[in-house]
Amino acid sequence: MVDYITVAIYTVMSVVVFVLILTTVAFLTLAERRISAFMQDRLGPNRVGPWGLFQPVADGIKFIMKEDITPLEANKLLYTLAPILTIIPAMLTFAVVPFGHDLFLHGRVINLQIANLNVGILYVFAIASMGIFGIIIGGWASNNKYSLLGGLRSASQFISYEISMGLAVIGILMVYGSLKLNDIALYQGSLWFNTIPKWGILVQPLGFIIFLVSVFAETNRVPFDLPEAESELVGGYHTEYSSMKFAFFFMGEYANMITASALIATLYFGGWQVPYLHNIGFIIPKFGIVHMQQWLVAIIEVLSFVIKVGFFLFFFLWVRWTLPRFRFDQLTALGWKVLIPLGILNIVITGALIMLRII
Amino acid sequence: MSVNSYTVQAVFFYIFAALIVGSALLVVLLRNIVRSAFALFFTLFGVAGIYILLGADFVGVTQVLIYIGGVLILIVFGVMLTHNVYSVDIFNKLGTLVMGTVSAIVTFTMIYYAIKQVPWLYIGYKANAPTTGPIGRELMTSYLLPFELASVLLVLAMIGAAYLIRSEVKVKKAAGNGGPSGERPADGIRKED
Repeated sequence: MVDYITVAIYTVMSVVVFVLILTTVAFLTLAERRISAFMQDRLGPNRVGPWGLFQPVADGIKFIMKEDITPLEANKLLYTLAPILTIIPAMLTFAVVPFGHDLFLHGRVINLQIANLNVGILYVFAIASMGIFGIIIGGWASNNKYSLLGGLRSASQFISYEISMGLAVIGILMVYGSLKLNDIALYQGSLWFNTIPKWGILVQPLGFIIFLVSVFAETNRVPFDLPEAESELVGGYHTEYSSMKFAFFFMGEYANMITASALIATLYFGGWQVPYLHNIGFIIPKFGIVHMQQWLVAIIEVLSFVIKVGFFLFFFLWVRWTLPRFRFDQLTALGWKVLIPLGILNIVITGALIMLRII
Repeated sequence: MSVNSYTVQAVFFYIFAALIVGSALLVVLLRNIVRSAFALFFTLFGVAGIYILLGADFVGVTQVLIYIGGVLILIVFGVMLTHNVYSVDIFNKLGTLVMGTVSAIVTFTMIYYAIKQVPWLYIGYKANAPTTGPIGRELMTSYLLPFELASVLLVLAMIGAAYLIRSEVKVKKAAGNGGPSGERPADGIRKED
Protein backbone atom coordinates (compact mmCIF):
# COMPACT_ATOMS: atom_id res chain seq x y z
CA MET A 1 0.00 0.00 0.00
CA VAL A 2 1.18 3.45 -0.79
CA ASP A 3 1.02 5.51 2.38
CA TYR A 4 -0.40 8.77 1.08
CA ILE A 5 0.39 10.79 4.21
CA THR A 6 4.07 9.79 4.04
CA VAL A 7 4.17 10.63 0.34
CA ALA A 8 2.59 14.01 1.10
CA ILE A 9 5.06 14.73 3.92
CA TYR A 10 8.10 13.99 1.79
CA THR A 11 6.68 15.90 -1.18
CA VAL A 12 6.19 18.97 0.99
CA MET A 13 9.68 18.46 2.43
CA SER A 14 11.31 18.31 -1.01
CA VAL A 15 9.46 21.45 -2.14
CA VAL A 16 10.58 23.27 1.01
CA VAL A 17 14.19 22.15 0.56
CA PHE A 18 14.10 23.14 -3.11
CA VAL A 19 12.80 26.62 -2.31
CA LEU A 20 15.31 26.99 0.52
CA ILE A 21 18.21 26.08 -1.78
CA LEU A 22 17.07 28.61 -4.37
CA THR A 23 16.72 31.28 -1.68
CA THR A 24 20.14 30.45 -0.29
CA VAL A 25 21.60 30.65 -3.80
CA ALA A 26 20.07 34.10 -4.22
CA PHE A 27 21.41 35.41 -0.95
CA LEU A 28 24.75 33.68 -1.47
CA THR A 29 25.34 35.87 -4.52
CA LEU A 30 24.69 38.90 -2.32
CA ALA A 31 26.89 37.49 0.44
CA GLU A 32 29.68 36.91 -2.04
CA ARG A 33 29.60 40.52 -3.18
CA ARG A 34 29.29 41.92 0.32
CA ILE A 35 32.07 39.74 1.73
CA SER A 36 34.40 40.41 -1.19
CA ALA A 37 33.73 44.11 -0.70
CA PHE A 38 34.48 43.80 3.01
CA MET A 39 37.75 42.00 2.28
CA GLN A 40 38.76 44.66 -0.24
CA ASP A 41 37.74 47.52 2.05
CA ARG A 42 34.74 48.52 -0.06
CA LEU A 43 31.04 48.67 0.73
CA GLY A 44 29.52 46.41 -1.91
CA PRO A 45 25.88 46.57 -3.05
CA ASN A 46 23.98 48.27 -0.21
CA ARG A 47 21.40 50.41 -2.00
CA VAL A 48 18.52 48.03 -2.75
CA GLY A 49 16.57 47.61 0.46
CA PRO A 50 18.09 47.48 3.96
CA TRP A 51 21.79 46.40 3.75
CA GLY A 52 21.19 45.65 0.08
CA LEU A 53 19.02 42.65 0.98
CA PHE A 54 16.80 43.04 -2.09
CA GLN A 55 19.77 43.04 -4.44
CA PRO A 56 19.17 39.37 -5.47
CA VAL A 57 15.60 40.32 -6.51
CA ALA A 58 16.93 43.17 -8.62
CA ASP A 59 19.53 40.83 -10.14
CA GLY A 60 16.84 38.29 -10.94
CA ILE A 61 14.67 40.89 -12.69
CA LYS A 62 17.72 42.09 -14.59
CA PHE A 63 18.48 38.53 -15.77
CA ILE A 64 14.92 37.96 -16.97
CA MET A 65 14.75 41.31 -18.80
CA LYS A 66 18.05 40.85 -20.62
CA GLU A 67 18.08 39.76 -24.24
CA ASP A 68 18.60 36.04 -24.65
CA ILE A 69 21.23 35.75 -27.35
CA THR A 70 21.97 32.51 -29.19
CA PRO A 71 25.07 32.68 -31.41
CA LEU A 72 24.28 32.16 -35.08
CA GLU A 73 26.67 29.25 -35.50
CA ALA A 74 25.76 27.59 -32.20
CA ASN A 75 24.14 24.18 -31.99
CA LYS A 76 20.71 25.51 -30.96
CA LEU A 77 19.29 22.41 -29.26
CA LEU A 78 22.35 21.56 -27.18
CA TYR A 79 22.99 25.23 -26.46
CA THR A 80 19.58 25.44 -24.80
CA LEU A 81 19.78 22.09 -23.04
CA ALA A 82 23.19 22.67 -21.43
CA PRO A 83 22.13 25.14 -18.67
CA ILE A 84 19.19 22.89 -17.77
CA LEU A 85 21.51 19.89 -17.55
CA THR A 86 23.76 21.84 -15.21
CA ILE A 87 21.18 23.08 -12.75
CA ILE A 88 19.06 19.91 -12.40
CA PRO A 89 21.88 17.70 -11.01
CA ALA A 90 22.99 20.56 -8.77
CA MET A 91 19.52 20.55 -7.22
CA LEU A 92 19.16 16.74 -7.18
CA THR A 93 22.26 15.98 -5.11
CA PHE A 94 20.83 17.59 -2.00
CA ALA A 95 18.11 14.91 -1.85
CA VAL A 96 20.27 12.45 0.10
CA VAL A 97 21.77 14.94 2.54
CA PRO A 98 20.28 14.54 6.04
CA PHE A 99 19.57 17.85 7.71
CA GLY A 100 18.35 16.36 10.97
CA HIS A 101 17.80 12.97 12.59
CA ASP A 102 14.22 11.91 13.30
CA LEU A 103 11.19 13.90 14.22
CA PHE A 104 8.47 12.07 16.17
CA LEU A 105 5.15 13.66 15.34
CA HIS A 106 1.75 12.15 16.21
CA GLY A 107 3.18 8.65 16.44
CA ARG A 108 4.91 9.00 13.10
CA VAL A 109 8.68 8.98 12.56
CA ILE A 110 9.78 11.49 9.96
CA ASN A 111 13.35 11.27 8.66
CA LEU A 112 14.65 14.78 8.26
CA GLN A 113 16.11 13.84 4.90
CA ILE A 114 14.34 13.64 1.55
CA ALA A 115 15.60 10.21 0.51
CA ASN A 116 17.60 7.90 2.75
CA LEU A 117 19.10 5.87 -0.10
CA ASN A 118 21.15 2.74 0.55
CA VAL A 119 23.76 3.99 -1.90
CA GLY A 120 23.73 7.53 -0.43
CA ILE A 121 27.18 8.91 -1.10
CA LEU A 122 27.51 7.05 -4.43
CA TYR A 123 24.32 8.77 -5.58
CA VAL A 124 25.96 12.13 -4.91
CA PHE A 125 28.98 11.16 -6.99
CA ALA A 126 26.82 9.82 -9.83
CA ILE A 127 24.56 12.86 -10.06
CA ALA A 128 27.51 15.25 -9.72
CA SER A 129 29.20 13.55 -12.67
CA MET A 130 26.05 14.18 -14.70
CA GLY A 131 26.32 17.88 -13.91
CA ILE A 132 29.70 18.14 -15.61
CA PHE A 133 28.07 16.98 -18.82
CA GLY A 134 26.04 20.20 -19.08
CA ILE A 135 29.22 22.26 -18.85
CA ILE A 136 31.01 20.32 -21.58
CA ILE A 137 28.00 20.35 -23.89
CA GLY A 138 27.44 24.07 -23.25
CA GLY A 139 31.08 24.82 -23.98
CA TRP A 140 30.96 22.87 -27.20
CA ALA A 141 27.56 24.04 -28.43
CA SER A 142 28.52 27.74 -28.09
CA ASN A 143 30.90 27.27 -31.01
CA ASN A 144 33.48 29.50 -29.38
CA LYS A 145 37.07 28.49 -28.70
CA TYR A 146 37.09 29.98 -25.21
CA SER A 147 33.90 28.15 -24.33
CA LEU A 148 35.24 24.87 -25.70
CA LEU A 149 38.52 25.20 -23.81
CA GLY A 150 36.61 26.09 -20.65
CA GLY A 151 34.39 23.03 -21.04
CA LEU A 152 37.34 20.71 -21.67
CA ARG A 153 39.29 22.09 -18.72
CA SER A 154 36.25 21.67 -16.54
CA ALA A 155 35.84 18.04 -17.56
CA SER A 156 39.49 17.07 -17.13
CA GLN A 157 39.62 18.84 -13.79
CA PHE A 158 36.45 17.13 -12.66
CA ILE A 159 37.59 13.65 -13.69
CA SER A 160 40.97 13.94 -11.97
CA TYR A 161 39.64 15.39 -8.74
CA GLU A 162 36.70 13.00 -8.60
CA ILE A 163 39.24 10.20 -8.05
CA SER A 164 40.91 11.85 -5.06
CA MET A 165 37.50 12.80 -3.67
CA GLY A 166 36.37 9.17 -3.94
CA LEU A 167 39.56 7.95 -2.27
CA ALA A 168 39.04 10.38 0.61
CA VAL A 169 35.46 9.22 1.05
CA ILE A 170 36.57 5.55 1.11
CA GLY A 171 38.36 6.35 4.39
CA ILE A 172 35.07 7.62 5.85
CA LEU A 173 33.21 4.54 4.58
CA MET A 174 35.79 2.26 6.21
CA VAL A 175 35.43 3.97 9.57
CA TYR A 176 31.64 4.25 9.67
CA GLY A 177 30.82 1.20 7.56
CA SER A 178 27.85 2.61 5.65
CA LEU A 179 27.10 4.39 2.42
CA LYS A 180 24.00 6.01 3.90
CA LEU A 181 24.69 9.62 4.74
CA ASN A 182 22.28 9.48 7.67
CA ASP A 183 24.13 6.50 9.17
CA ILE A 184 27.45 8.31 8.72
CA ALA A 185 26.07 11.33 10.54
CA LEU A 186 24.55 9.12 13.24
CA TYR A 187 27.76 7.15 13.96
CA GLN A 188 29.67 10.39 14.41
CA GLY A 189 27.71 10.86 17.61
CA SER A 190 29.34 7.81 19.23
CA LEU A 191 32.04 8.63 21.72
CA TRP A 192 35.77 7.99 21.62
CA PHE A 193 37.25 7.00 24.99
CA ASN A 194 33.77 7.84 26.30
CA THR A 195 34.44 11.57 25.98
CA ILE A 196 35.20 12.87 22.46
CA PRO A 197 32.56 12.52 19.71
CA LYS A 198 33.92 10.57 16.73
CA TRP A 199 33.57 13.34 14.17
CA GLY A 200 35.06 12.70 10.74
CA ILE A 201 37.62 15.47 11.08
CA LEU A 202 39.07 13.75 14.17
CA VAL A 203 39.23 10.20 12.77
CA GLN A 204 40.09 11.24 9.18
CA PRO A 205 42.18 14.44 9.32
CA LEU A 206 44.17 13.61 6.17
CA GLY A 207 41.03 12.48 4.36
CA PHE A 208 39.37 15.75 5.29
CA ILE A 209 42.13 17.84 3.70
CA ILE A 210 42.02 15.76 0.52
CA PHE A 211 38.23 15.99 0.39
CA LEU A 212 38.23 19.74 1.00
CA VAL A 213 40.74 20.45 -1.77
CA SER A 214 38.94 18.11 -4.19
CA VAL A 215 35.57 19.68 -3.44
CA PHE A 216 36.95 23.12 -4.30
CA ALA A 217 38.14 21.71 -7.62
CA GLU A 218 34.83 19.95 -8.26
CA THR A 219 32.78 23.10 -7.72
CA ASN A 220 35.09 25.12 -10.01
CA ARG A 221 35.82 27.64 -7.29
CA VAL A 222 38.98 29.67 -6.74
CA PRO A 223 41.80 28.59 -6.47
CA PHE A 224 40.67 26.00 -9.03
CA ASP A 225 38.30 28.08 -11.17
CA LEU A 226 40.26 27.45 -14.36
CA PRO A 227 37.18 26.52 -16.45
CA GLU A 228 36.08 30.16 -16.17
CA ALA A 229 39.42 31.88 -15.65
CA GLU A 230 38.52 35.34 -16.95
CA SER A 231 42.11 36.42 -17.55
CA GLU A 232 42.67 33.48 -19.91
CA LEU A 233 39.30 32.34 -21.22
CA VAL A 234 37.05 35.43 -21.13
CA GLY A 235 34.13 33.72 -19.35
CA GLY A 236 35.02 30.08 -19.93
CA TYR A 237 32.22 27.71 -20.82
CA HIS A 238 29.52 30.36 -20.35
CA THR A 239 31.18 33.07 -22.48
CA GLU A 240 28.34 33.11 -25.02
CA TYR A 241 25.50 32.71 -22.56
CA SER A 242 23.30 35.59 -21.49
CA SER A 243 20.06 36.24 -19.66
CA MET A 244 18.45 33.32 -17.79
CA LYS A 245 20.62 30.69 -19.49
CA PHE A 246 23.66 32.30 -17.90
CA ALA A 247 21.73 32.62 -14.66
CA PHE A 248 21.15 28.86 -14.68
CA PHE A 249 24.89 28.15 -14.92
CA PHE A 250 25.48 30.69 -12.19
CA MET A 251 22.81 29.22 -9.93
CA GLY A 252 24.12 25.73 -10.65
CA GLU A 253 27.55 26.75 -9.39
CA TYR A 254 26.14 28.18 -6.17
CA ALA A 255 23.80 25.22 -5.65
CA ASN A 256 26.83 22.95 -6.02
CA MET A 257 28.58 24.99 -3.36
CA ILE A 258 25.66 24.46 -1.00
CA THR A 259 25.69 20.71 -1.60
CA ALA A 260 29.46 20.62 -1.20
CA SER A 261 29.26 22.50 2.11
CA ALA A 262 26.51 20.15 3.27
CA LEU A 263 28.66 17.14 2.33
CA ILE A 264 31.71 18.48 4.17
CA ALA A 265 29.52 19.10 7.22
CA THR A 266 27.88 15.66 6.99
CA LEU A 267 31.01 13.60 6.37
CA TYR A 268 33.52 15.37 8.57
CA PHE A 269 31.66 17.56 11.07
CA GLY A 270 28.89 15.29 12.26
CA GLY A 271 26.15 16.61 10.00
CA TRP A 272 23.21 17.42 12.23
CA GLN A 273 25.01 16.11 15.34
CA VAL A 274 25.46 18.29 18.38
CA PRO A 275 27.99 16.70 20.76
CA TYR A 276 26.29 14.61 23.48
CA LEU A 277 22.80 15.45 22.17
CA HIS A 278 20.50 12.43 21.79
CA ASN A 279 16.79 11.98 21.22
CA ILE A 280 16.00 12.39 24.92
CA GLY A 281 18.33 15.31 25.58
CA PHE A 282 21.97 15.85 26.45
CA ILE A 283 23.74 12.74 27.80
CA ILE A 284 27.09 13.84 29.19
CA PRO A 285 29.36 11.06 30.51
CA LYS A 286 30.21 11.30 34.24
CA PHE A 287 27.82 14.22 34.56
CA GLY A 288 24.28 13.14 33.89
CA ILE A 289 21.33 13.63 31.61
CA VAL A 290 19.58 16.87 30.72
CA HIS A 291 16.13 15.88 29.49
CA MET A 292 14.58 17.73 26.57
CA GLN A 293 11.46 17.52 24.41
CA GLN A 294 12.02 15.55 21.22
CA TRP A 295 10.84 18.36 18.92
CA LEU A 296 13.29 20.73 20.62
CA VAL A 297 16.10 18.25 19.99
CA ALA A 298 15.09 18.02 16.32
CA ILE A 299 15.10 21.81 15.97
CA ILE A 300 18.53 22.09 17.63
CA GLU A 301 19.88 19.41 15.27
CA VAL A 302 18.56 21.16 12.17
CA LEU A 303 20.01 24.45 13.45
CA SER A 304 23.36 22.79 14.05
CA PHE A 305 23.35 21.51 10.46
CA VAL A 306 22.41 24.94 9.09
CA ILE A 307 25.17 26.65 11.09
CA LYS A 308 27.80 24.16 9.89
CA VAL A 309 26.71 24.53 6.25
CA GLY A 310 26.65 28.29 6.66
CA PHE A 311 30.19 28.27 7.99
CA PHE A 312 31.48 26.26 5.02
CA LEU A 313 29.64 28.51 2.57
CA PHE A 314 31.43 31.42 4.19
CA PHE A 315 34.67 29.41 3.95
CA PHE A 316 34.14 29.03 0.18
CA LEU A 317 33.78 32.82 -0.18
CA TRP A 318 36.67 33.46 2.20
CA VAL A 319 39.01 31.29 0.14
CA ARG A 320 37.83 32.81 -3.13
CA TRP A 321 38.78 36.33 -2.08
CA THR A 322 42.03 35.29 -0.42
CA LEU A 323 43.89 32.93 -2.72
CA PRO A 324 45.19 33.42 -6.28
CA ARG A 325 44.39 30.96 -9.08
CA PHE A 326 46.48 27.88 -9.87
CA ARG A 327 48.09 27.39 -13.24
CA PHE A 328 46.55 24.51 -15.21
CA ASP A 329 49.61 22.24 -15.07
CA GLN A 330 49.96 22.93 -11.34
CA LEU A 331 46.34 21.96 -10.90
CA THR A 332 46.72 18.67 -12.77
CA ALA A 333 49.99 17.90 -10.99
CA LEU A 334 48.41 18.55 -7.60
CA GLY A 335 45.49 16.28 -8.42
CA TRP A 336 47.40 13.34 -9.84
CA LYS A 337 50.77 13.49 -8.08
CA VAL A 338 49.81 14.70 -4.62
CA LEU A 339 46.18 14.12 -3.77
CA ILE A 340 45.73 10.63 -5.28
CA PRO A 341 48.86 9.15 -3.60
CA LEU A 342 47.81 10.83 -0.34
CA GLY A 343 44.34 9.36 -0.74
CA ILE A 344 45.77 5.85 -1.11
CA LEU A 345 48.06 6.46 1.88
CA ASN A 346 45.02 7.57 3.86
CA ILE A 347 43.21 4.32 3.04
CA VAL A 348 46.23 2.25 4.16
CA ILE A 349 46.58 4.21 7.41
CA THR A 350 42.85 3.98 8.09
CA GLY A 351 42.93 0.21 7.49
CA ALA A 352 45.84 -0.19 9.90
CA LEU A 353 44.13 1.92 12.56
CA ILE A 354 40.91 -0.06 12.21
CA MET A 355 42.87 -3.33 12.57
CA LEU A 356 44.53 -1.94 15.72
CA ARG A 357 41.04 -0.98 16.93
CA ILE A 358 42.06 2.64 17.51
CA ILE A 359 39.20 4.05 15.43
CA MET B 1 2.45 -5.18 -1.90
CA SER B 2 -0.74 -3.97 -3.49
CA VAL B 3 -1.79 -3.72 -7.11
CA ASN B 4 -1.22 -0.01 -6.77
CA SER B 5 2.58 -0.30 -6.43
CA TYR B 6 2.76 -2.71 -9.36
CA THR B 7 0.95 -0.16 -11.52
CA VAL B 8 3.41 2.53 -10.50
CA GLN B 9 6.26 0.14 -11.32
CA ALA B 10 4.79 -0.67 -14.72
CA VAL B 11 4.35 3.02 -15.54
CA PHE B 12 7.98 3.73 -14.68
CA PHE B 13 9.16 0.66 -16.59
CA TYR B 14 7.46 1.85 -19.78
CA ILE B 15 8.78 5.39 -19.31
CA PHE B 16 12.34 4.12 -18.99
CA ALA B 17 11.91 1.59 -21.79
CA ALA B 18 10.60 4.28 -24.15
CA LEU B 19 13.50 6.52 -23.13
CA ILE B 20 16.06 3.78 -23.83
CA VAL B 21 14.64 2.69 -27.17
CA GLY B 22 13.90 6.21 -28.39
CA SER B 23 17.28 7.66 -27.52
CA ALA B 24 19.12 4.56 -28.79
CA LEU B 25 17.40 5.06 -32.15
CA LEU B 26 18.50 8.68 -32.09
CA VAL B 27 22.10 7.61 -31.39
CA VAL B 28 22.07 5.52 -34.55
CA LEU B 29 20.01 7.76 -36.80
CA LEU B 30 21.26 11.28 -36.02
CA ARG B 31 23.74 12.65 -38.52
CA ASN B 32 25.50 14.99 -36.12
CA ILE B 33 27.93 12.84 -34.16
CA VAL B 34 27.94 15.11 -31.09
CA ARG B 35 24.16 14.93 -30.92
CA SER B 36 24.45 11.14 -31.14
CA ALA B 37 26.81 11.16 -28.19
CA PHE B 38 24.38 13.38 -26.35
CA ALA B 39 21.47 11.04 -27.09
CA LEU B 40 23.56 8.23 -25.60
CA PHE B 41 23.31 10.12 -22.30
CA PHE B 42 19.58 9.41 -22.16
CA THR B 43 20.04 5.77 -23.17
CA LEU B 44 22.50 5.14 -20.34
CA PHE B 45 20.33 7.08 -17.93
CA GLY B 46 17.29 4.97 -18.86
CA VAL B 47 19.23 1.76 -18.30
CA ALA B 48 20.20 3.02 -14.85
CA GLY B 49 16.51 3.67 -14.20
CA ILE B 50 15.63 0.08 -15.15
CA TYR B 51 18.32 -1.24 -12.77
CA ILE B 52 16.92 0.81 -9.92
CA LEU B 53 13.41 -0.38 -10.76
CA LEU B 54 14.73 -3.95 -10.43
CA GLY B 55 15.93 -3.16 -6.91
CA ALA B 56 19.59 -3.11 -7.95
CA ASP B 57 20.25 0.40 -6.70
CA PHE B 58 24.02 -0.07 -6.43
CA VAL B 59 24.29 -1.25 -10.04
CA GLY B 60 22.03 1.58 -11.20
CA VAL B 61 24.06 4.29 -9.50
CA THR B 62 27.32 2.71 -10.67
CA GLN B 63 25.92 2.71 -14.19
CA VAL B 64 25.43 6.48 -14.01
CA LEU B 65 28.79 7.01 -12.33
CA ILE B 66 30.86 4.90 -14.73
CA TYR B 67 29.02 5.19 -18.03
CA ILE B 68 27.74 8.77 -17.90
CA GLY B 69 30.44 10.22 -15.65
CA GLY B 70 33.33 8.34 -17.24
CA VAL B 71 32.82 6.59 -20.55
CA LEU B 72 30.40 9.09 -22.09
CA ILE B 73 32.50 12.09 -21.09
CA LEU B 74 35.51 10.44 -22.73
CA ILE B 75 33.45 9.74 -25.87
CA VAL B 76 32.31 13.38 -25.99
CA PHE B 77 35.93 14.45 -25.43
CA GLY B 78 37.07 12.31 -28.33
CA VAL B 79 34.31 13.53 -30.62
CA MET B 80 34.88 17.20 -29.78
CA LEU B 81 38.63 17.09 -30.20
CA THR B 82 38.57 15.15 -33.45
CA HIS B 83 39.60 17.45 -36.25
CA ASN B 84 36.94 18.14 -38.93
CA VAL B 85 34.35 15.98 -37.27
CA TYR B 86 31.62 17.48 -39.46
CA SER B 87 33.19 16.74 -42.78
CA VAL B 88 33.18 13.02 -42.03
CA ASP B 89 30.16 11.40 -43.66
CA ILE B 90 28.83 9.22 -40.88
CA PHE B 91 25.52 8.51 -42.57
CA ASN B 92 25.26 4.79 -43.06
CA LYS B 93 25.43 3.51 -46.60
CA LEU B 94 23.13 0.74 -47.77
CA GLY B 95 25.75 -1.99 -47.27
CA THR B 96 26.41 -1.06 -43.66
CA LEU B 97 22.66 -0.71 -43.11
CA VAL B 98 22.06 -4.31 -44.17
CA MET B 99 25.01 -5.58 -42.15
CA GLY B 100 23.82 -3.63 -39.14
CA THR B 101 20.28 -4.98 -39.37
CA VAL B 102 21.53 -8.57 -39.68
CA SER B 103 23.90 -8.28 -36.72
CA ALA B 104 21.19 -6.57 -34.64
CA ILE B 105 18.71 -9.39 -35.35
CA VAL B 106 21.34 -12.06 -34.58
CA THR B 107 22.32 -10.37 -31.30
CA PHE B 108 18.69 -9.93 -30.28
CA THR B 109 17.89 -13.60 -30.98
CA MET B 110 20.93 -14.77 -29.02
CA ILE B 111 20.07 -12.65 -26.00
CA TYR B 112 16.40 -13.63 -26.21
CA TYR B 113 17.18 -17.35 -26.12
CA ALA B 114 19.77 -16.86 -23.40
CA ILE B 115 17.17 -15.11 -21.23
CA LYS B 116 14.63 -17.84 -22.01
CA GLN B 117 16.97 -20.67 -21.01
CA VAL B 118 18.21 -19.33 -17.69
CA PRO B 119 16.15 -20.69 -14.76
CA TRP B 120 15.62 -17.34 -13.05
CA LEU B 121 15.59 -17.47 -9.30
CA TYR B 122 12.63 -15.43 -8.11
CA ILE B 123 13.34 -14.16 -4.61
CA GLY B 124 10.36 -11.86 -4.36
CA TYR B 125 10.31 -8.11 -4.34
CA LYS B 126 12.25 -6.52 -1.50
CA ALA B 127 11.96 -2.76 -1.68
CA ASN B 128 14.95 -0.87 -0.34
CA ALA B 129 16.87 -4.00 0.63
CA PRO B 130 20.52 -2.99 0.92
CA THR B 131 22.58 -4.46 -1.91
CA THR B 132 25.96 -2.83 -1.32
CA GLY B 133 27.06 -5.11 1.50
CA PRO B 134 26.20 -8.43 -0.22
CA ILE B 135 27.84 -7.27 -3.48
CA GLY B 136 31.04 -6.32 -1.66
CA ARG B 137 31.10 -9.64 0.23
CA GLU B 138 30.59 -11.69 -2.94
CA LEU B 139 33.26 -9.73 -4.80
CA MET B 140 35.77 -10.37 -2.02
CA THR B 141 34.91 -14.08 -1.61
CA SER B 142 33.23 -16.05 -4.42
CA TYR B 143 34.19 -13.76 -7.29
CA LEU B 144 37.63 -12.65 -6.11
CA LEU B 145 39.47 -13.99 -9.18
CA PRO B 146 37.35 -12.18 -11.83
CA PHE B 147 37.48 -9.07 -9.66
CA GLU B 148 41.27 -9.16 -9.47
CA LEU B 149 41.52 -9.92 -13.20
CA ALA B 150 39.48 -6.80 -13.90
CA SER B 151 41.89 -4.80 -11.70
CA VAL B 152 44.87 -6.21 -13.63
CA LEU B 153 43.18 -5.17 -16.87
CA LEU B 154 42.70 -1.64 -15.57
CA VAL B 155 46.32 -1.41 -14.39
CA LEU B 156 47.46 -2.56 -17.84
CA ALA B 157 45.31 0.11 -19.46
CA MET B 158 46.80 2.75 -17.18
CA ILE B 159 50.36 1.64 -17.88
CA GLY B 160 49.57 1.64 -21.60
CA ALA B 161 48.19 5.19 -21.42
CA ALA B 162 51.23 6.40 -19.47
CA TYR B 163 53.55 4.70 -21.97
CA LEU B 164 51.80 6.37 -24.93
CA ILE B 165 52.21 9.82 -23.39
CA ARG B 166 55.88 9.28 -22.54
CA SER B 167 56.87 8.01 -26.00
CA GLU B 168 55.14 11.03 -27.54
CA VAL B 169 57.29 13.31 -25.41
CA LYS B 170 60.46 11.55 -26.65
CA VAL B 171 59.39 12.01 -30.28
CA LYS B 172 58.74 15.67 -29.61
CA LYS B 173 62.18 16.12 -28.09
CA ALA B 174 63.85 14.52 -31.09
CA ALA B 175 61.82 16.37 -33.69
CA GLY B 176 62.09 19.71 -31.92
CA ASN B 177 58.83 21.13 -33.27
CA GLY B 178 55.51 20.89 -31.45
CA GLY B 179 53.05 18.12 -32.08
CA PRO B 180 49.29 18.62 -32.22
CA SER B 181 47.89 21.44 -30.12
CA GLY B 182 46.54 21.21 -26.61
CA GLU B 183 49.28 19.38 -24.74
CA ARG B 184 49.90 21.31 -21.59
CA PRO B 185 50.05 18.24 -19.33
CA ALA B 186 52.67 16.72 -21.64
CA ASP B 187 54.68 19.91 -21.36
CA GLY B 188 54.58 19.57 -17.61
CA ILE B 189 55.98 16.04 -17.82
CA ARG B 190 58.78 17.10 -20.11
CA LYS B 191 59.94 19.83 -17.74
CA GLU B 192 60.41 17.39 -14.92
CA ASP B 193 62.23 14.71 -16.92
